Amino acid sequence: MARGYLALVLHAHLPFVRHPEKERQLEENWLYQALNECYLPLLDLFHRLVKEKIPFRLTISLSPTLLSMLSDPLLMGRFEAYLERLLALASREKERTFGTPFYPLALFYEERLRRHSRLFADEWRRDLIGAFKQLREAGVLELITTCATHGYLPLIRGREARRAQIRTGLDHFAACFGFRPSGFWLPECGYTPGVDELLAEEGIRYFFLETHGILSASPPPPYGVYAPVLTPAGVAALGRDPDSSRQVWDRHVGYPGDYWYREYYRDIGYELPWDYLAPYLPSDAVRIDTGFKYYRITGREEKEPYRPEKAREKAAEHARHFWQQRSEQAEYLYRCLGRPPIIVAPYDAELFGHWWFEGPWWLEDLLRLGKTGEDGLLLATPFDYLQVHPPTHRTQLGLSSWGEGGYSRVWLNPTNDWIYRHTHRMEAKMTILCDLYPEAEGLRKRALNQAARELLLAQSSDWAFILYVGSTVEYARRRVEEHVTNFWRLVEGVLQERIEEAFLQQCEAKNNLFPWLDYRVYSRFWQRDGLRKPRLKVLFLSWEYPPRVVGGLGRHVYDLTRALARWDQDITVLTVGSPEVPAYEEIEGVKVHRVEVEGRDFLAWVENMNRAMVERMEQLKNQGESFDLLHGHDWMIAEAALWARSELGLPLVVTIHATEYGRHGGIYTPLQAFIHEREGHLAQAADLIVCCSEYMRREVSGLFGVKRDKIKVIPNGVDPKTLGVEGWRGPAPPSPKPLIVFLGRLVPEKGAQDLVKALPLIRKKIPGARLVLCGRGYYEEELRRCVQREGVEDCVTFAGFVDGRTREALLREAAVAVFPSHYEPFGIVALEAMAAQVPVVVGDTGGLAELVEHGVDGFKFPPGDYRLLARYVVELLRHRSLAEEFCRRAWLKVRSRYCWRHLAGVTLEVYNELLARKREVGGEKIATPSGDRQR
Amino acid sequence: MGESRLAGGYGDNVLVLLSREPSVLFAYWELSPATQLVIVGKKWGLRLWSRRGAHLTLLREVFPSFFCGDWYFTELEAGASYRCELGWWENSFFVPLLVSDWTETPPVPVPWRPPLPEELPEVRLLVEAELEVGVGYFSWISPLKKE
Repeated sequence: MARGYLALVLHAHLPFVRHPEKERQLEENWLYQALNECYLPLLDLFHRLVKEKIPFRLTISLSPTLLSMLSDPLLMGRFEAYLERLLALASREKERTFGTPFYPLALFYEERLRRHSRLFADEWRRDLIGAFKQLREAGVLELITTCATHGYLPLIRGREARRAQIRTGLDHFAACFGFRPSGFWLPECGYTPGVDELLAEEGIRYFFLETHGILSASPPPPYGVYAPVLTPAGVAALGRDPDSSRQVWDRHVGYPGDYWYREYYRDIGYELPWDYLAPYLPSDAVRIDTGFKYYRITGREEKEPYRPEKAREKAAEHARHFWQQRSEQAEYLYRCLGRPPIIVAPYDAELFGHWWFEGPWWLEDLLRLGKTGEDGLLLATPFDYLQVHPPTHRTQLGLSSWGEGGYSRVWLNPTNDWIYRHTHRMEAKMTILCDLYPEAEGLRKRALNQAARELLLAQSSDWAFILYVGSTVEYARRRVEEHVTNFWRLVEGVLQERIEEAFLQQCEAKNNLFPWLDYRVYSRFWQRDGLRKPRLKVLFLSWEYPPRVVGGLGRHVYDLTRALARWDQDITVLTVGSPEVPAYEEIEGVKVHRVEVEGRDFLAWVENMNRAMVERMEQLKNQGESFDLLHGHDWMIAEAALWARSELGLPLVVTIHATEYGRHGGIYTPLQAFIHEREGHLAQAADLIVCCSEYMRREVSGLFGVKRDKIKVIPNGVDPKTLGVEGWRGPAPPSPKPLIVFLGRLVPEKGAQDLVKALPLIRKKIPGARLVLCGRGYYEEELRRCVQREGVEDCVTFAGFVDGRTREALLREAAVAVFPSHYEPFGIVALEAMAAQVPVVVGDTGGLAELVEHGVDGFKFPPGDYRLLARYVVELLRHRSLAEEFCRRAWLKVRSRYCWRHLAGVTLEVYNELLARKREVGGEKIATPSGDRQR
Repeated sequence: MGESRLAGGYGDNVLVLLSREPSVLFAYWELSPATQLVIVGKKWGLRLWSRRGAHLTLLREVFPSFFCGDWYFTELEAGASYRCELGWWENSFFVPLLVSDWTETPPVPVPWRPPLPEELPEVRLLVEAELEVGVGYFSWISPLKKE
C-alpha cells in the first residue's frame, strides 16, 4: 500500500527571443544553451528509461513561448549551427588541452556534443515537441503548460487580460500536442484571488503554489501542503514541499553545491584569448559561457579539474539520499495524517544541466529508484493523485509566488514598476478594441491580432525579472519598449483607419508566435466562434413593448429584440396589446404578437395576461410554430413562462431587471410578499438568469438562493440615435445659467432630495445654476417642501413626466446630469445621459457604481453626501474641459460596452451556452414541480 | 532608472493600487491636462484607507509632487483591504478626484505541523484506509510491463 507519493515537476520556460533581422543575437543563445544543456539531456534520459522499461511518472510544464521557439524553423536551424560551432570549438579544445589533465574533459564535451547533435538532427529530426509527445504516449510524462508568454498574473490587471494569457497558453499547447492539459503552471507560481475562476473556466483541474500560498489559506488546510486544497472555484491547488525544495535549491546546503560537482562560473568563454574564442561566440563584442568548464567546485579558491565519473557517483549518492529522505518523510506524514501525503517537488527545468550540470544524472537515478515503490513511496503526477484522493477541503487563497520574498517584490520594485502603467493601459485598450471591432476582417483583423501578440509579449514576467536582477537589463528594457511601441502604432493605425501594412508585416514576421491568435480573446464578452452559431428561434415574453412603455423594461426588450433580429436571429415577442396597434405585426424583423387583456384589479389583470399568453402560445404551437428557447422579463410573465417551460419543453432564460425587495428596501405588504414569492419562484425555475449588473447578481443570488454561476450579467444598452445623437457633439457650451438635470421617478430612493439640498451650495459658487427635476412620483410634494426649505424655488423646475422629444432637448441643454440614487439596479438614465454627452454625477451605489468610473467618465459620491455632490457639480460647471474629457470617455464607453448590437451578440452567446448545456445532459426532461403547484 | 522611448503618460486619469506583499502596496497615477487644471494651486495628495469588515480607517496622507507618478505604501497590515484616493483639500474637507479599486494585502502564512496521531479522529483514519484498498493506482505500469 502506498504510504506517500512524490510528485516531481519540472517547469521549462524561456522568453520568446527571436531575431530574424540579425544573424547572431546574443540573447538567442539562451535557447541554444538550454537546449544543449537541459532539454536534450533531459529528453535523452527520459527516452533511455523508457527504452529500458523503467516505469516512472513525472510532470513537465512546457511554456508556450518555449514551444513556439522549439517549432520555429529559423531558430532550430540556428541551433544546429550553434552545435556545429561548439563542435568546432571542441576540436580546437582537444588540441589545446592535449597532454594536460583537461584533455579527457575536452573529449567528454566533444562526445556529449556529438550525441546531442545526433539526437536532435537524426533521432528526433528537430522535432522536440514530438519527442515530448512520445514520452507522454509511453505513459511516463504528464505534460502541462502555463500562460502564453509567462505573464505574471497578479500584476496583470484585467480579468480579460489574465484570461487571454491563460487561454492563449492552453490553445497553443493544444495546437502542439492535440489535447488540453489538466494541470496548469502559474508563471512564477504567482497566484491572486480570481485566477482560480479563470482556470476553472478553461477546465483546469490543478495548479501549483509556493508553500506559504497554501499555509496562509483561510480556513487553514488541515494537511498542510501534503494534500491538495480546493479553491472557491473548485480547482485543486498543490503546495510546494519545502524540504525537498531546499535539498535541491538551497545554495548552501543543496546538492548542487557539492565539491565534486562542476564549477559553473569557470568557463573558457571568460578565460581564453578573444581571438581564439571569437569564431565560436554569438556576438562580436561579448564574452559568454561556452559550456566548456574544466573545474569542479572544489571548496577552495584554487580549483581542481572536474572529473565527470566522480560527479556521476555523487549524483547517484544524492539521488539515494533524496529518495530515502522522501520515503521517511512520507512514512512520518502518513502516520501523522492518516492518509498518504503527496510531496510536491517543483523545479525549473533549466536547473537540470545548465545551473546544475549533474542534475539530469541525479534525476535519472532518482527515477530509477522510484520504479519499485517497495518502501511505500511512489512517483506520481498530481493528476494521478487527484484521481485517488480528490480534495475536499475548500479554502480561500491569497496572493503568493515563489519569487524572492514570496510575493510580487521581484516583479514590482523601482527597477521595473514603470512597466505596468503601460501594460495595464494596453490591456484596457485591447478590450475596448474588441468591443469596437467585434468582427474585424482583413488588414484590420491582422493588425488587431498582432497588437494582441505585442501585448502578450510585453507582459512576459522575464523582462521585469531581468530588470530586477540586473543582467542584460538593456535587452529587457528594449523588449518592453519595442512591444509597447509596436502595440500603439498598430492600434493607432486601426483607430485612424491608416494601418501601415509594411510595418504590420515586419511585426508579424518577427514576433510570429501564436499565428492562429484571435484578438477577441481579450473581449469581455465574446467567446470563440460566438458569432458563427446556427440561427435560433427565440420567444420573448414581456408585458411591456412599444407603444406600451411604462418603465425601462419595454424599451429594453424592444432594443434587444431588434438587435437580435439584426444578428439574423428569428425573434418573436409575445406582449400585451394596445388599441393603436395590430394584434400581429413585424417590426424591423421582429414578429410581435399582442394579446388583449382585461382585469378588475392589478393581480387579476396579471393573471388574465398570463392566461392569454398561454392561449396564444398554444395557438402558435397548433400552427406548427416552434422555438428553441424562451426569454421572459420580470415576474409578471412568470405563469406563462413556467407553462411554456413545462409544456413546450423550452429552456427558460429570465431577465430580472429589479426586485420588489430592492425597490422598497424590504417586503412590507401582502402584495409585495406575493410579488417577492413569484420572483423567487421564477428565479428558481429558470434555467438561466440574466441581470444587468453585478450588484443585481448579488441581490438576486442572495434573495432567492440562486447559485451565482446560474446568473449572467449583461448590462443594458443604449442607442444614442434614440436620444437624437448622431455622433460626437460634446457637452453643452458654457453658460451663465447652466442647467442641472435630474431624470427619474420622484421617490426617496432616487435621491432627488439630496440634489435639492446641494443646490444652495452649488449656487454659492455658480449663482446662475438651475435645476430641472423630470419625473413623477409620490414623493413630489415632499420634494417641493424641500425646495422651499432650501430657498431655491426660483431656480428649480418640476417638469413632470417628459416625453422623448423633451428629454432630448433637456439633455442637449444640460451642463450636468445628476442621479443621486440610494438604490439603483442599473441606472439606464445615467447611461442615456452619457450617450447624450452630458457629464454625470451619480450616487455610488448599485449598477450606477459599475457604470461610472470615478474621475474618469463621471463623478460618484456616497449616497446622501450632498456636500460632495455639490462640490463635483461645481467642478464640472467650472471646468468645461474636464466635463468634455468625461464626455469623450463616456461616449467611447457607450459605443463599445453598451452598444445594443454588441449586447445582443453577448445574449446570443448566453443562449447558445444554455442550449449546449442542455444538449450535454441529453434531452433531459425539463420538470417544474413547483411550477405545477403554482398553477 | 527612468523610461526612455515610451510615452510619459497617456493623457488620461488613472489611479491604480497594486498589492506587492503583506506590508507593501504600490500606487501609480496619471492626471489628464484638464484634471491638472482642476487641482493646480490646490493642496492635493493621496489618502490611503484600510478596511476591516465594515470598519474604515484613514491610514496615510501623502503629498507627491508629480501629476504622473507612483508611491510605495509600506509597513501595512497583512490580510487587509486598502483603497487609495487622489484628491484635494479644501480646508479640512477632502474631495476625492480619483479612487482606486479595493486591493488586499496577502495574509501571512500560519505555521503548520502535522497533527499527532492521537489528535486525529479514528473515523478519518478508517475512511482513508478504505480509500487505499484496491485503487489500482499506477495504471501506467501495466503497458510498460507488458512489453
